Amino acid sequence: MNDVPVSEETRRWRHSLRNELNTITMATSTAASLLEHGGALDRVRQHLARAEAACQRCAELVRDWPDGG
Amino acid sequence: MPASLLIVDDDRDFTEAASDFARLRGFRPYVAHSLEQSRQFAHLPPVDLLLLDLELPDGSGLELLDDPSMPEHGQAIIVTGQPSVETAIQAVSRPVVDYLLKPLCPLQFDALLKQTAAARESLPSANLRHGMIGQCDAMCRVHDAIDRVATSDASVLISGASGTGKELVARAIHDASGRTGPFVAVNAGAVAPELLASHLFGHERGSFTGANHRHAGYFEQAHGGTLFLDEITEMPLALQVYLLRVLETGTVTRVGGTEAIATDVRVVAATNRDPHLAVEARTLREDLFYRLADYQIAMPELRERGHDIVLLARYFLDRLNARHGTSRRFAEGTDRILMRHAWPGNVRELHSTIQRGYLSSDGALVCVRPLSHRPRAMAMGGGAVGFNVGMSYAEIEQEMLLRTLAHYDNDRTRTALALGVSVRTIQNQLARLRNRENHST
Repeated sequence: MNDVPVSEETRRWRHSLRNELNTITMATSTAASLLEHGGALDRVRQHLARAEAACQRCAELVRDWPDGG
Repeated sequence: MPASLLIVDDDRDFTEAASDFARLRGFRPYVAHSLEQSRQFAHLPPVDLLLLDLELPDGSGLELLDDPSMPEHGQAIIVTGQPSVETAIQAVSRPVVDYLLKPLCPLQFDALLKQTAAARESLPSANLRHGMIGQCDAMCRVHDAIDRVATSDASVLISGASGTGKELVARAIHDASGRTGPFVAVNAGAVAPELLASHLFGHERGSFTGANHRHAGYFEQAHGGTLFLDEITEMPLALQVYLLRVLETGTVTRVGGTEAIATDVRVVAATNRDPHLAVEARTLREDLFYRLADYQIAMPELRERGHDIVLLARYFLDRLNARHGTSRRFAEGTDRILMRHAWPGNVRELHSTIQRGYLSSDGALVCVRPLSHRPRAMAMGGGAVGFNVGMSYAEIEQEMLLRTLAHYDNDRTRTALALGVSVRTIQNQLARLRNRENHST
């Protein structure tokens, strides 16, 4: 929990980072599940592309670390 | 029928991935990206699991937990990227709610889905056929029709009043069809007419103001599966022409695009109007009607279903008992009350009445008290209107006027001719109606 008060900017930043990590975790795990179940490769690629794009956004977020974050 | 899951989250990448994750584990996922979209799922049968984000573009996801327009749901899980003590306290003070932080661990999600599927297995399922309760003659005909038509390529048009279970029938047809793609439901009456084309057929980036991304429409999303088009007569006529072309060619061109995309979609349509009258009133194109209605299924109203009413009521109570770990039963005389009521809201009204009775009962007995309704005009086929004893002359006059207007597609001149009065009289009566409505609100 965010018991320590933080600035609105930091709050937004953490929220964005958690959302991107959420996408990466779920998209990669789903891609792996699709492979296990013999799912369509196109679908696997779509999820991996989602994960890759979210990784890039994470990289941008950690470059723009907010003050006090 | 498979277990179902409603994911409410504005992050489309996450919802796409989580939907596939759940689908691979035998779940039927539904997705909403805002409070408003979530409320459009009011017509859904109970969903087994609700996965809810807190920060949505139009408010807090917590609002949905107490929202009567949401479908009934089993366990609700808050998944938030913005945790706070305040929201955690608000969430866990409600029944059947867990509070998780993003990123959602896939192992945890997998365990949740397994737990939900197991809980569903333990629910009472006696008397269920095609996921529905119904043993009366009319429902047996519906079940037989589903068996006959499901594995064919025939288009199906389901008609019936609101709350009679049209979407359940469409879902049952999909489940029995052997089609491996998803079941996608869209209510043509719930989407703004100017957005419907983009929702159905998709759009290219930059095709209109606000189209920041390429978007695959419902037709593409339902590839390999079934597209359920509810309230088809609410679709603008211009769009009906395009829908007909899509059905004839099996290809979709996105709004602002040029490429024809091949889709393999079985369409099941539904309307709460008499389809023939809708064609006559020109709210449904005749050529589209014939394309959609290779096979027609008419849903009976609940009051025509006899003992099914009692079976349904017991089923709803069993579900509530299973979910809350109770063993409440109906008070004496409940069957009589259930059979006497007219149920104008059909199964949806019955479900809500049982839920209300359950929530207001203090002990082991559940008392059912249907809401009283003023007698209303009885809709009849073939352009006829029937009236019930108890209606006033003013109500009969109003009903006759409104139905005649609807019949003549709001043409006041033809309505006046049919009723044998002047156009001025029609205009005066409509003005009086508007005044009355303004005073009552």
